[in-house]
Amino acid sequence: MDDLVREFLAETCESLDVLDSEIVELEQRPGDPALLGSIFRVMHTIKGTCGFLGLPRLESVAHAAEDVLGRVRDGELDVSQDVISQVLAALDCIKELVTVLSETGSEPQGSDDELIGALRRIASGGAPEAATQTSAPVEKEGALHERAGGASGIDAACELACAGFMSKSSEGAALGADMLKLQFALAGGFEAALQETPGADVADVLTCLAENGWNAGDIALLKEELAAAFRTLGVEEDDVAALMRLLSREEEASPEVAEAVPASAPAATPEATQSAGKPADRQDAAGQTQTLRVNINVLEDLMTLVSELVLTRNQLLQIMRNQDDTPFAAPLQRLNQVTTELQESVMMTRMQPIGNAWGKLPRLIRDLSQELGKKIDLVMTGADTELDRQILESIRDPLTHMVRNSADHGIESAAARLEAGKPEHGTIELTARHEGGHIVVMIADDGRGLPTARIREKVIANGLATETQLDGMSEQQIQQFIFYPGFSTAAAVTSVSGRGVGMDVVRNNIEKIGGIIEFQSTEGVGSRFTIKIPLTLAIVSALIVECEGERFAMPQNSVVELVRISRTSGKGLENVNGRPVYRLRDRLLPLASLGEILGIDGADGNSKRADADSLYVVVSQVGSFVFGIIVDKVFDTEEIVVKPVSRCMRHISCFSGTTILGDGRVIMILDPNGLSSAISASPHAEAAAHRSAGTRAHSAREAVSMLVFEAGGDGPKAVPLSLVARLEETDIAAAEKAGARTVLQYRGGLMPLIDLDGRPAEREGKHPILVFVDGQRMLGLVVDRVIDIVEAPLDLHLAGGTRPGILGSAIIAGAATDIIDTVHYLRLSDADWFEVETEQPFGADGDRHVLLVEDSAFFRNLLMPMLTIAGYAVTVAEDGEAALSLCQEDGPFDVVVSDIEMPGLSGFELVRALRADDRLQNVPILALSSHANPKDIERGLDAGFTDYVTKLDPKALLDALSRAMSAEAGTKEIAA
Amino acid sequence: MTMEVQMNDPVGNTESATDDYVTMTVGGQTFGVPVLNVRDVLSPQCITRIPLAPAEIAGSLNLRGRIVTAIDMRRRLNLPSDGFAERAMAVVVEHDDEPFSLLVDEVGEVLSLPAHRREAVPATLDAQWREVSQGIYRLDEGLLLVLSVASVLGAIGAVTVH
Repeated sequence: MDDLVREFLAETCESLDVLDSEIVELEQRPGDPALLGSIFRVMHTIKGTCGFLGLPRLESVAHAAEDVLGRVRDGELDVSQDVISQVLAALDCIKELVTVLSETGSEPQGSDDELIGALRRIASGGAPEAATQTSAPVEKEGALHERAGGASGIDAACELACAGFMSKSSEGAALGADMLKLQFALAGGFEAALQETPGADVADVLTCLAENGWNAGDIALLKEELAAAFRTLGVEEDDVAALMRLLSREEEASPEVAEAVPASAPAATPEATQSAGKPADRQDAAGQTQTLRVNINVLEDLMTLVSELVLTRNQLLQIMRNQDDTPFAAPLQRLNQVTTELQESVMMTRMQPIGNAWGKLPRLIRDLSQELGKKIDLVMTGADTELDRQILESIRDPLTHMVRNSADHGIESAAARLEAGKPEHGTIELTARHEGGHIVVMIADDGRGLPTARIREKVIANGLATETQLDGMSEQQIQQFIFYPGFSTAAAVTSVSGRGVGMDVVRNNIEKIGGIIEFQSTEGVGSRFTIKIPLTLAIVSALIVECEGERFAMPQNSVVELVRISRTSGKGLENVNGRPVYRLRDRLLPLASLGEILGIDGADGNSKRADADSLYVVVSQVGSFVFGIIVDKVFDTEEIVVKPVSRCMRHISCFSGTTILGDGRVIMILDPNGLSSAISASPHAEAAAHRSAGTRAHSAREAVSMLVFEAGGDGPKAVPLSLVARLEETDIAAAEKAGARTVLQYRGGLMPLIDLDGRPAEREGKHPILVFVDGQRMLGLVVDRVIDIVEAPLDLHLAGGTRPGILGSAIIAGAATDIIDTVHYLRLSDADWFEVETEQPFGADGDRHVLLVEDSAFFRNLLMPMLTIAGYAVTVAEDGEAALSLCQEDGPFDVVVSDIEMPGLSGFELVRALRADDRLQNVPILALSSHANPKDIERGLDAGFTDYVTKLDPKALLDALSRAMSAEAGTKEIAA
Repeated sequence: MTMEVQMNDPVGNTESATDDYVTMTVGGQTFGVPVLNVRDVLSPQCITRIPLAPAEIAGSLNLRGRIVTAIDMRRRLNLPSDGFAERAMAVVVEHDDEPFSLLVDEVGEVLSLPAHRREAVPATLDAQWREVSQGIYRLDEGLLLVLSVASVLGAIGAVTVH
C-alpha cells in the first residue's frame, strides 16, 4: 500500500471516530459554530485528500456530505434529524469504504448514487434556488472575503492551487501529504488576513515556507497557481489582484482588508470562531506540530526497557542496603530518582483518556433511541480520565454492552416514563474518575431498574436456586444472578440485546484485568453499575508468599486480608471431609493449600515446612467468592513488573504472569481467578461451591440449629437446639440425692440430673446443664462445656448402635460431631416419660406399621429409632415417589408420617395421590415439617393431612400418632 | 561464502560449505546446535521451578532482566535428570522471539563441519531422539547429533498437561 494512503487511513480513522460523536452532539446543539466548523473541516479534509489520492468514491460521498454541512454552516439549512441521519449515513459509507481500503489497498467497486442523491436533495431542500457553493454567484457588493467565495471558496482555491503546484513544481511530488498541510495553512492564512482571525496570516505562511528552504521560484509558482485557482472559481480580476497583494508582506494592507473587518463582525463565521477557540490548530497547520505519531510497538518496547531498568535499580538498591559506606550511594540515589521519573513518563505515553472508549456511545444511543422509540440522553463526565491503553481496550466492549443494556432494558418508553411520573427523557449517566490507584467508572440510568420478581422466576426456571433459597436472599443477592451465564431477563429478544450473552461476559472481562464490578438497582428508580479497574497492568503491587520453599507473587488487589494461624493450636482450623475450612469471624472460609493446588505438596515438601510453627491464610476474593489460600510464609509487598508467561506455559491458569524480584529471582505471579477455579473445580470443592450464591438446588439441605457441646470426652456432641428448653449453669454440689437419682430443685420442681453415660450426675463444681422439659417433667443433662450454636445443613453419616444415646455423627462446623439421642436419656431418667403415651391402647403392641417419609437422613435417623422405641414397626421411604409405590404395593400402612418439603413429589402432592387411592383414603397421614405456623397447618389439613406436627418435637409426634390411631380404630369399630 | 548462505542451505551440497556448531553433551552424547541459534552460554544458574509446567521445563531463570524458560534436555531426551538442573550449563537460544535455555551437562567448543558430511539420523533411534535430531556427523571422537531447536521447543509448546 502506498505510504500516502496509509497515512491518510491513519489520520482519517481517528477523525471519523471523533466525527461520529460530534455529529450527534450537533443535533443537540445545532447553533454551535465551533462544532459545526470542526465537523465541516474534517469532512472537507477527507474530500480533499481523497481527491488528491485518487479515491473517487470516497471523494464524492465526502463531497456531498460536505455540501450539506456547508449549507448548514451558512445558515441556509436547519439542523434537523433528517440532515443528521443523512450525514451519519454518509459517514457510515465512508467508514465502510475506508475499511475496505485499509484491507485491500483500493476502493471497492460500486456506486453511492443513492446516498449522494439523498444528500443532494437535503442540501437543495433548504434553499432550492442556490446551487453548490463553488459555483455560487459572487456578489460584487460583499466584502472581499465574500467575493473570494467565502471560507469554502478560499479552501477550494487553495486546494486547486496546491494540486496545480504539485503537478508543475519539481519539488511538488516530494512534498506528498505535507501538501495537505500547506493547503490548510494557506486557507487559514487567507482567513486570518481577510477576517482578522488570530494565527499566522497568509504572508507569514509564505515567509515560513521560505525559511523552510523553499526556493523563490517555487513560492512564485505557488502564488501564480493561487491566482489561477481564484480565477477558475470565478473570482473577479480585481479581487484576485487584491488577494494576491495579501501574499506579500511589503505591500500595505489593501483597503479591501480594512473593509472586510466590519463585514466579519456581524457574520461571525463559524470558521472564525473555530480558529479563535483553537489557535494551536493553526500552528499545527503551519507545520509546527506538537504531537508525534509513534508506533505502538516502539512504546511497548520502551515500556519493557524501562521495566528492566526499574528491576535493575531495585536490585542495586537491595545490594546497597547491605553496604554501609560506599561512594556509590549518591549516584545511585540519583539513578533511583531518574528511573522513577522515567518510569512515570513512559507510563504517561501509554495513558489514553477513557473518552476514547466512549467515542462511539453517543452515536449508539442515538441510533438505539430511534430504533426503540425511546428518548434517551447520554451524559458523560470525566472523559479525560486517563488509563493504560491495554486496559482501555479491555473495557471498551463491556462498557458498550452495559450502556446498550441500560438503553434497551433500563430506560422505559417515553409514554411509560410519563406515566411513572418521570421526565420524558431517560438519562444514562457515564462517569469516570480516579480513586486511589484505580479508575472508577459508573454507568447509571434512571430507568425501571432490575425486576427482582422476573429474576426470581428465571432463577427458579433455570434451576439456579430453589424458592426456599431465594426466600433467604436479599433483593441485592437475587439481582446478582444476572451475572450468571446465559441469564437474560429481556422478555423479547430485540436486535439490541437479550440474546443471552450478557453480564457474565462483562464480569469476566472486568475481572480478567483485576477489576471489580458492583451494582445497585432499585425497581422503578434505576440501576447503577460501578466498575473499579486498576490504572495499569504493567506494574502491580503484589504480596510475596512462600509455599514449599518456592516464592510466588499474589496481586495485592485480590487480597482481602491475611490470617496467621498457629500450627500447634490450629485454632479455628477444621476439616470437612478432609477439606480444610477456617472460621473467620461470622463465616466459614473454604481453604486450599497453595502447595496442593500447584501440585508441589510432595513428601519432601512436607518436611520443609514442618518446622514452621504457624501458617498463613491469604484471604482472597474473586467476584463474590471468598476463599483462603494456605501458604507457609508471607513476605512484604513489592511493586512488580508483570511479564507474560512463556508460550509453553500459558495453559496453566494458575499463573497470570511472571516477574523478577529485587534480588534477581524469577517468580510466578498467581492468578486469583485461576486459583479460585482450581479450588472449585476439584471434586472436594463441595463446601466452597456451597457458599457461593445460588447454590445448586440439589445440594440444598435443611439447615438445623444445633447446640454443640462437650461431654464425656470423645469429641463434640450436638443436639437439635429446638429440643433443649433451657441452658443452665449450676453447682452440682447443690443437687440432692433422691434414691439412686441426683435431683435438683429447679423452678419449683425436682429435675433429675444425669451424665452423658446415663448415670446420675455426680460431680463437683459448676457445670452447664441442658434442660429438657415436657409439661411438668424436666431432665437435666450435665455436660462439660457448651461450645457453640451452629446453624448448618447436616447429614448423619454413621448410624448409631455402637453406643447407646448416640444417634450417629454429622459434620458440624467442620468437625465430626456425635448427635445425641435425647429420647434415650429421657427414657433413662424417667421410665414413665414415654410410657404414659405408650400405655395408650393404640401404640406399643408392635404390629402398628408406620411409614416414615423423610428425605433428610438426619431426621430419618432421629425419628426412626424413636418410633421403634415407642413400639411401632417402621418402614422408611426417602422420597414421595418411593412412599407412593410402597403404599400401593405393600398394602396400606396404619399411619403415614410424611415430610412436606422433599425433592420430586412434595408432601402435599403425596397426600393428594394417596387420598386418590380408594384403599388409602382413610389412612391417617401426619404432616411433618420444620416450620409450622397456623397458615402452614391449615394448608396441610386442606391438602388431606390428618394432623400436622413439627419435626423436632418427638413428644408431639408420638401424641399425634397415638391420637390418629385411636381415631382410626374408632372409625373402624363404628364401621364394623 | 557467508554464514547466512550456509544457514539457508543447511544440507549444502557444495563441497566447500561448512556449518558451525556449538557442541554440548547431554548424558554422554555429543550434540551440536547451529552457532547462529545460540545467544548465550551460562554457567549453572538459580532456576525457579514452575509448578504444573510440562516435565521438560526445568523452570525460569533471569538473564539480564529477561525471563528465560529453561528446558531440561535430559528429561527431553528421556534420560535420568535428578538434581540435574542445579548444576547444568545453560545454552540460550531464541525461538519465535522468545528466549529459551537448554540445560545440558557440558558445553564444548565450536566445530566447523563440512555440510556434505552430514548424514541422516539412523532410523533405529528412539522416537524422542529422532524427533529432535536433524542429522548426524561421524567425528573422530564419536558421533555428533545435530539438534533442531525448533523441534526441541515446538513439541513442548504443544504439550498440554493435566
